[in-house]
This record gives sequence, structure tokens and C-alpha cells, in this order.
Amino acid sequence: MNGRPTILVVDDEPQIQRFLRHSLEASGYDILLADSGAAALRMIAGKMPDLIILDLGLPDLDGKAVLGQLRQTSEVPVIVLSARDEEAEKIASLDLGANDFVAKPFGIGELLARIRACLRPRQPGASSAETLHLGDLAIHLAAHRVERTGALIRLTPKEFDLLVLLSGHVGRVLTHRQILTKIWGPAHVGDVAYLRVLIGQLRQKIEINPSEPRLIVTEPGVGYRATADT
Amino acid sequence: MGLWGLQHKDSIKTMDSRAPVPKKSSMTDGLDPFSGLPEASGWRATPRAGSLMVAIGVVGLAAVLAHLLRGIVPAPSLTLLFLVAVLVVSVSTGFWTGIASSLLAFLVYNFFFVEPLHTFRVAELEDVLALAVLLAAGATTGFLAGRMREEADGAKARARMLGQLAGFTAELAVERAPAAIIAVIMRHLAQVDGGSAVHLTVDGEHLGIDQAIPPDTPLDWPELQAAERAFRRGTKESRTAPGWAGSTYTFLALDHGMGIIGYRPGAMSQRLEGLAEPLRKTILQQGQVALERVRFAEDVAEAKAKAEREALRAALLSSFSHDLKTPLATILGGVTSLRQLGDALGPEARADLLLAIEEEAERLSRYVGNLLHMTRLKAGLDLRLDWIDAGDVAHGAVMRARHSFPGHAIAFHAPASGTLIHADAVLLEQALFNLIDNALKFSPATSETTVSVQAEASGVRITVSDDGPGIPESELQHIFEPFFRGAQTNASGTGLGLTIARGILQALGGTIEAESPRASGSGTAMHILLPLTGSPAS
Repeated sequence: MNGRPTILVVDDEPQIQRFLRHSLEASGYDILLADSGAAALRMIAGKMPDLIILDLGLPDLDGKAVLGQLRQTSEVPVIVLSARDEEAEKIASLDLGANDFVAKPFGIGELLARIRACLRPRQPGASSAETLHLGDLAIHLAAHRVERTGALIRLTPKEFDLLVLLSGHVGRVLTHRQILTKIWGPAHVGDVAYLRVLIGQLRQKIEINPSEPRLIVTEPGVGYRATADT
Repeated sequence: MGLWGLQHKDSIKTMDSRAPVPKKSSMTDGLDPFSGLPEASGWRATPRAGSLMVAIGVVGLAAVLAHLLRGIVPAPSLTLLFLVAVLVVSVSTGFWTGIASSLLAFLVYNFFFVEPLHTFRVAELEDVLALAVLLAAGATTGFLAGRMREEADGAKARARMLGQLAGFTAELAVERAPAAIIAVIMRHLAQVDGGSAVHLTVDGEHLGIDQAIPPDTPLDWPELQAAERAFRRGTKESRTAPGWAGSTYTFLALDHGMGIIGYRPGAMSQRLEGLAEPLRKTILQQGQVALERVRFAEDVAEAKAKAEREALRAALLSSFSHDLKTPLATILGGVTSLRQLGDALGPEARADLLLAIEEEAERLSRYVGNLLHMTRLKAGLDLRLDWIDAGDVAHGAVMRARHSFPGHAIAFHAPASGTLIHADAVLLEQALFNLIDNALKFSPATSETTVSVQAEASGVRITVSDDGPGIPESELQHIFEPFFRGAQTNASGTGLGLTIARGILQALGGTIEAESPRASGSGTAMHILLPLTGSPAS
């Protein structure tokens, strides 16, 4: 990944390709364009892009099929792009291995933020790092302590696990299923109510204004996202 | 059957043991096992004059025969002749005539053949015995014959009822509409015994006769009151017994507001008394079941249609969502790029982004315009008819298309005059623009699209013709259907343009036909014919 990262845009709408090419190039990325699933799979194998922006509605293959195929061989970050704003589509894509999604229509800032989050070098391994940061929170992993500007915030073990999980994927959405599997185990993937309660408790403790959360935001119907700053 | 037979015999034995003339009450007791049979109209009925004549005739014949045989056969054997006569009369006419004939036979025998002749005196015990034998034979045979005839009558009646019921069920099975089913129910209710039947419907507070058999049967005040009671309680309102004041009809409220059915037994009810009521009950039950079935079928059909409408709506919504969001995505993405990336974009990139935004905004505007037109078409157009120059209007559409598709060549031919028609200029322009837009969208930029206007005797002909790939034969008949999009096209669109064009042209009283490939062998031509004075089609 020397110099400019390469982004493959897979979308059959010429106008979308057109504006994405201009704005992504202006933002410091090299652009590859594909207008079909088959072309996309060829380019992924041949050109090894650093990130893929994938439209779900393609003329030949369903975007989800492309996703399924490429995930068999590649871990390249994928941001799903679609006019379909159904939660089911988003969740299905995320569960198939997409790293995030952006629903059409979107502002370029939103897309660039997602791209940055996906291209950000992995938090130097949640295992090796001593401390994670989320906003003004410092999360000391070994000590199981969370502090805001030196003040200790007391969390239950589950709340701590949840905070660590989300902080480890700053800027990226995690689906209910993904979170439930990690925190409660695979047997509890359907218990979204557990998660809502736990998120509520965690927000009470870590958010400055729990009714307007800024650190952990809800992606309605899909999951939760820890936001870096702003 | 065996049980029946046994009981039957028992009853006969009772009869025998109580011979010669069982009392009426004991007869009735003996008949108890037959309570399921029609109440005996045969054996209880008083003998008719006709059967008495038969009795007199047959006994007279026996007397004549006996007279002829007198001296040839021994006198007591002559009683056998009378016995035969009594049997014949009993079998053919029934109980009471049997009794009467046996008395008559005894009297004739006694008067003419027993000493002392020509008197009714009974001298010998032997003659008393003869009387007893004749009476017993007459009574027993008459009773048996009567019962058999009644049973035969009953069986015939039951067979007729079953036949009617079978016919009724068959007719019910065919009918799909509630009104037709109600008509079948009524016809069969009336047919049971030649009675009458009515169907009343409730309109607000008023009961009205919907149909009646026989037609124009009036309902009196007590009937209407009973019908209203049946309706209000939702139950059956039985008729009053004959001779009492009240309704002569029985009324039954049908479920689900399908009205009230009433019936009155007819003239034949006397003979079928026992069967008619159960039959009517069955008819009403089966009828209600049939009505229920139809209602369920309607519900199912409605639910299915609703599901289909929902599915179509969902598909449309998703299609619209995509069609509206794609231009929006370009516009929003382009604008935010220009604002946020600013100088990072080169001048060429900025110009291209602005152009893309303009194009997509126009595309969006066309979609929305089409949707609004569609809504207007659906709601019924408010035509603003005026004398307009069709050539001029067509030229306007061509100019608009040239502006929207700067890369395409559009040729325009129209006569200088003679193309005045009575129509709505704005709508006609929209229809023509949609046709040109469609032609350009599916043709390569290098090919030429032609719009020509010709004056004809009955109006104006406008042809929009392109040199594009043409329309596959399988798709040609669908192109005017809403939301239809060709299978091989990548061009975006709502699939409404042609639908709207045709809708408008039809509203103006005109016609449109698609020709593909054209006579020249390639491309597509849309032929529009507009009448001189458009009589707005409904």
C-alpha cells in the first residue's frame, strides 16, 4: 500500500461512477471502475485493490453474490453502496462480510469517512495494545479500567467487553448479530433486546448526554457504530 | 330394515288379535313404530265417492257371479267370491272402503244367498262366522294395502324430495354469486310443495322485496313485522299455526347482511306434511353453507388480489426508489464533493461534476413530471381543448428534445398549414416529447430520429420514427403497459413514458400504433392519428 490506495468502484450507473471518480481521485485515491459483477471479480483478482465500493444492484450478478465470491479468497475491505435502503439488505451484506455500508443518496463526506475507517490500519491488535481510545475515553485493557480525563468510569464486565469491541472497530458498523455473537456467544444471536439494554446502560455511563449519544451511535435496524471523534 | 319389518309384523299381529275393527287409539299405538312415516293421509281419510262406487261395483259383480254359480258350487263356497271381492276392493281403495265393502258383501250375501233369503236375519252361527271373516279380511287387507300405499307414496315423496335436494345441491355447486344462490334457494323452497318464497333486503331501516316466487307476491303487515323481527334478532321467525293471526311465512335472517328469506307452504303441503319441513330446513342449511362458501371464496380471491396489488406496489415503490435515488445520489454526491473537496478537484473535474449534476437534476425532473402526469391521467384529465396547430406543437416537442439531448439529430417535417385540430396543446406536447424521448433513449446518438406531421382528411397524422435497434416482437405488444421496460435495455426510466403518451392521445380521441421494424426494415415508428375535433374518450 505504497502511496495512493486503490479503490475499485463497482456500479452500473455511469453518473455515479462519474462523480465518484472525480471526488475519490481528488481525495487522494486511485480509481478502478467496473460496471458488472463479473468485471469486478476479474479486477479484484488482477489488480488487487485496497478497498471495494460495491453497488448491490448490478445487471449481471447480485452484489451480495459478488461479495460472497470475493470473500472466499480475499479480505479486502468492502463498502456496500445501494439505493436499497432495506435493513435486511444491509444486514445480509454485512453478515456476508461487507465491512460497512452507505445508503444512496449520500454526501461525499460520509463515504470518505467510511473509506478512511476501513483503510485505517487495524488498531494495533486489540490484544497487543495496552490502551484503546474512543473520543475522550481511555480504555485500559489489561487493567479493565475506563477513564475520562483521569476520572474512573465503573463498568460491568459485559459493558466493558461491549465498549472494547466497538472501540476496536471505530468508525465501522457492527451488526446486532456480530455483537451478540462476540459478547454473549452464538446461542444468543437473536436476543437483540439484551443488546439494547446493555447499550442503554453503557451509554448512561460513558456518554456526556446519554439521550444524544455521540460515542456509540445507532444504525437503525442494523447495529451500532463507535464514532472516532467530531 | 329388519327392525322395520319386525315392527311392521308386530303391528299386524296386534291388528289381528284385535280384529275385526281395532279401535282408533289402538291403531295409533300400533302405528307408533311408523311415526317417522307420513301421518297417514290414506287410511285415515274418509272414503271418497269414487272408491265407494268401486266397492259397490266389485261386490255387485261378485253377487252376480255368485248368482250364476248358485247350485253349481256349494253355497258356503260362494262366500269365497265375496271374500275375493272384498280383498280386491280393500287393496285398491284402502282401509275404510275395505270395511265398507266387507259390510256390503256380508249384507248382499246374507240377503241373497243365506236362508232365509231376502232377509237380513242371521239364523246360523256359520253366517256370523262368515261376517266375521269378511270383516276381518276387509279390514286387514284394507289396512295393509293402505299402509303399503302410504309407504309407497311416502317413498315416492321421499324420492322426489331427495331428487329435489340433489338437484338443489347440484345447482348450488355451480353458482358463484350470492344473488344467484339466493335465487336457487328460493326456487327450491317454493318447489317443495308449490308454496311461495321471498327474499327481502334491508336498505337502511327499510325492508324491501328483492325477489319473490311467484313474482309480485305481496307481503302483508304481519309478514313484514315477522321479517323485521327475524332480521333484528338474526334468527328464525316461524309462521303462526293456520287459523291464528300472524305471519303466514316463516322468515330466516341470512348471515352477513345477505337479507331475509321467507317461505310459505303451498297447496301440496298436506300430502307431504312430514317431509316438507325437514326438506326446507335442509335447503336453507345447505343454502347458508353455499353462501358461506361463496363468501369465503370471495374473501380468498380478494386477499389474493390484495396480495398481488401489494406485491406490485412494493415492486413499483422499489423501482421508483431506485429511479429517484440514483439521480439524487449523483446530485448529492456531486454537490458535497464540490463543497468539501473544493480546490482538490481540478477545473475539468469540477466542470464535469457540475454537468453531471445538471443532467441528473433534469432526469429527476422528468421522472417527477412523468409521475405527476401519470397521477393526472389516473385521476382523469382536465382537458383544456382549443384550436391548436399540431405542427407547431410537434415542433415545440422537438425543440425541447433537442435541448435535452444535445448530441442527437432530430429531423422535423411539417406542412406550413392545414394541421389545425381541436386538442389540448400542453398534453399533446408532453405525449410527443415522451415519444421522442423514448426514441432517442434507445437509439445510438449517430442515428437520426424523425418527427413528421401530415394533414389528413379526418385529422392529423404524426409519426415519430427512429433508426434504433427496434423492438423485439415479443415486447411490442407490451410497450404501452405501465412500468414495462425492455429486457435488453440498459437505459434508465420509469417505464411510464409511453404509457402516459398513449393515455394522453387516447384522452384526446386519438390513436397510437407502434411499428417495429419499420417498412424500411429497421428502427421503430410510432404512428399517431389525431381527429380534427377530439371527442374526449372516456
